[in-house]
Amino acid sequence: MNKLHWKNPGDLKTNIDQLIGFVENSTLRSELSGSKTKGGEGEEKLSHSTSKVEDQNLKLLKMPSKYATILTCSFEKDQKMVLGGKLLP
Amino acid sequence: MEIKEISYGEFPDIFGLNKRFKPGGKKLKVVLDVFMPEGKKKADFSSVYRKLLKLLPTLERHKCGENLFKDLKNHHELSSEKVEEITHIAHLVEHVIIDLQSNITKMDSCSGITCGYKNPEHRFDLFIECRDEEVGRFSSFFAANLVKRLLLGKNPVKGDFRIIELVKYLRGQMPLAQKNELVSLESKVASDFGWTKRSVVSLFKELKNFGLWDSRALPNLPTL
Repeated sequence: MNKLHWKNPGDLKTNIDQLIGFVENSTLRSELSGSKTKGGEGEEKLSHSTSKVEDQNLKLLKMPSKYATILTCSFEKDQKMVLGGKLLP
Repeated sequence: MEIKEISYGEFPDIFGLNKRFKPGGKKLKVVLDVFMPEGKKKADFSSVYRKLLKLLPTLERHKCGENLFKDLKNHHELSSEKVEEITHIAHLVEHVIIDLQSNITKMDSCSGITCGYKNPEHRFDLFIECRDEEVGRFSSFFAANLVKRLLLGKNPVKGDFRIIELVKYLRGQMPLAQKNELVSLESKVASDFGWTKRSVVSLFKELKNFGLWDSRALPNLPTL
């Protein structure tokens, strides 16, 4: 399960490469707070909801610049998932 | 909620955005504008989800990056922030499309992404792995129409169940793209399902409205 919901990396001014990656079965939320946020003008803040980080470079994803958010989902027929994410026997 | 455009292809630019996308697989791209239904300040996602489960029970098997369904099953409402809410609606539509076409075309797995535009904020691109373009198109229009009705507080109707059943049946008969002899099929469908000929004619008309046999034009669905 991937969770992606980030501001477009093209907008990021901080070096996030070491901070963010995709992790199987983890959640990820990254957000940049710049001049439009309560952090104040010019202040940059990056937060995410998981400490699990892999080395995949977010910039390599080449997220089209017109997008602000990405949400992912998938369905696997033979894998019985309950809503909490636990596998059924 | 309105589907602005549907296209079909590989879309290599977005391949890396979901690591579950299968290499070389074709996808459906649905451009969707989402607005809160008129007169509704806040969507009752929990209610919508429970209604959807009656029609599409395999929704429970979906993996959702946003844990959307976990919250809904626990009767937790989602963010009421305007932009978040329409994002959840778009994502819910994507789940419904995935579930419909996965069941109709018997896909073992199907992944997708919901991409929210910077501007306009109400616009989304849904990219969904798709084996059969025509079924994908039908699933998209049906899903958007269904979710819209449920957000307005309506319930799934008997026709919804029948349409899904009918599309599965028709796809098993022959490729949907060759359905140019529908009239001859109507009696057989009525006989096989035990439905009246009149109801079958009505269902076929609805299927046409959902764009099942016309891959070019956008269906002219009633405004809800």
